[in-house]
Amino acid sequence: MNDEMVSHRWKPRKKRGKTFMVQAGLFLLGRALEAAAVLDPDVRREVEGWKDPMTIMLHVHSEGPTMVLKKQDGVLRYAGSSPVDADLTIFFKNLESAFLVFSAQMSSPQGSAEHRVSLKGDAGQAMSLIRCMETTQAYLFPKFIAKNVLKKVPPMTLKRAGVRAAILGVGVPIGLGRFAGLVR
Amino acid sequence: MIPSYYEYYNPVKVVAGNKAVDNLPYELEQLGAKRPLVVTDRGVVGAGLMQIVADAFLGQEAVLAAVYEDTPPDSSVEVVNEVARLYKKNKCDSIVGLGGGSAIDTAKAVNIVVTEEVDDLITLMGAEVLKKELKPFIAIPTTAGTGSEVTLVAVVADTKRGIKMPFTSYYLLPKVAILDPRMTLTMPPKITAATGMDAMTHAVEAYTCIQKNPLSDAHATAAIALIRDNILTAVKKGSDKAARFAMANASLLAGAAFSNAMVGVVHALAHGVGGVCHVPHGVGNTIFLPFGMEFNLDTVGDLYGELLLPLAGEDVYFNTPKKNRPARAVEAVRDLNRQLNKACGLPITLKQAGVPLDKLEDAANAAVNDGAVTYNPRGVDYEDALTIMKAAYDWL
Ligand SMILES: [Fe+2]
Repeated sequence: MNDEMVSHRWKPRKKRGKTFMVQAGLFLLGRALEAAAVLDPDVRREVEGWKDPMTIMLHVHSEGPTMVLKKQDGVLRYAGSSPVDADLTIFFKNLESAFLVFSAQMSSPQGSAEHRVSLKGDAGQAMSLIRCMETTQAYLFPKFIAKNVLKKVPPMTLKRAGVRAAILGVGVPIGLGRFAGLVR
Repeated sequence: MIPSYYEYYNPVKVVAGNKAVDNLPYELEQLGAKRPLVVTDRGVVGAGLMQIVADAFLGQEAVLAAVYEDTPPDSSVEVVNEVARLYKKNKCDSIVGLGGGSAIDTAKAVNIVVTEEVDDLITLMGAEVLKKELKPFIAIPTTAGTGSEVTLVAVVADTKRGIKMPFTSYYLLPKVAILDPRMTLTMPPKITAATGMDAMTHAVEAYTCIQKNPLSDAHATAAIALIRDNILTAVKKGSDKAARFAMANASLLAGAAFSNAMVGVVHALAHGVGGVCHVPHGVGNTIFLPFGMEFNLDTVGDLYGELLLPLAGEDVYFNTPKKNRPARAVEAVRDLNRQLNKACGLPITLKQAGVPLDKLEDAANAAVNDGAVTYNPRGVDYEDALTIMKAAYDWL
């Protein structure tokens, strides 16, 4: 019934630009996390501690952009943009709140402080995921953005530059999880 | 000083700040609701605020089931019954009040009708008629002054009998109040000034009325300081988001204060000229606030002395000897009135507000019969009310 009987005069306007930005940001983050779980020692250690198998979803409530991560046989993989029943769901209450974070106007801790983000699942697990996201974002963002939205930005060493190149060059376009066995 | 006994109640969840309105669907869902009826008015629609609310439902499970756009400035029983029919016809499950005092009060009254499942509000007249939890109700104020988003009263006019019916119940308090700076940006200067001074009056009266208590005091003084620092900016530069947001917060704080401590002679007088000469509520309060304070000066002067700090700031407060502070506080309010008058033409005398001299007796009579005099620290009789009205007529 909820879809049939609605006000026909007052409809939400489509926010195509913001929706696309958030969806793209989620995809980028998903693939980058997959790659960082292979290449970055800190992220790898965190992911090793997660239960196996498990499903994680980042989501905009209630029918907005979505990103699913699956850990199976020790490998973390980006698993598409269709909502699932996840073990851990981190969700933004609405698109505007997600956009503030994904457009780097607001850090994720600030987003949580403003109650813009909420979660279903184990809070400890979520903390671990958030640490991984922060580490990953440090690779993704140029420094002038990173220093606004991340608590600490590690200096860009040659090794880190290599990891960044691999994340952006291979991880994001085709996914690095499939090569996990080779890299280790 | 803490009273030997008091009660304080404010269970409203406050959702405030940047893009706060986008949280409306989420908050509705938290209350188990997915089909809200929005009660609003033409002005809100014209200013594009309804569209901002509609946009918030993009990609959400909750949908806008119905919108009532025609709330008049003084809502009536007929309007309430009409909106209640709209609610039932569209199988709504919750109510959102979007607007100034009238839209929010109408939404509250509609909530009574649809919860009690009667066809007409009049059948529910009387005290303590509400015995059960009402439908989920969220308030989004678009003016900064009435504080209706945190008060437990709804005033609806009974046009046939020509009276205003107040309904008072804890159940009438919204579950959530949403303050979004976008919602007050377009308010015209004069209305910004008048509603802001309404909030100022709520805070000053809450601090000095006989039901005052430590919690209402804290809210009242915080509200006064915010108004002092922001009202002129909000009037002169309406697009200043920080000032607008500060005023919205001040209005809510002052609303929570007076909802628990009540208001006094200033409101009684404003209701008097409002009922008899249709002076807008905020304008009436603006005009009478310094005079009402003067009237109460001998009874609660020490309290006005304390208010000099939030009213005028540290420098003035510390540079004024203690015995002069009460009178200086009245002067601070008068100063503010003059500045607002200069900035936007806000009426600060009854003459400027268009009140005919020969109506003062009627207005004074209505004022002493107003419930607010009960809570004033000093008794108010007809002669008192008339004296104040005459003094406020043309004092400039
Ligand atoms: Fe008021």
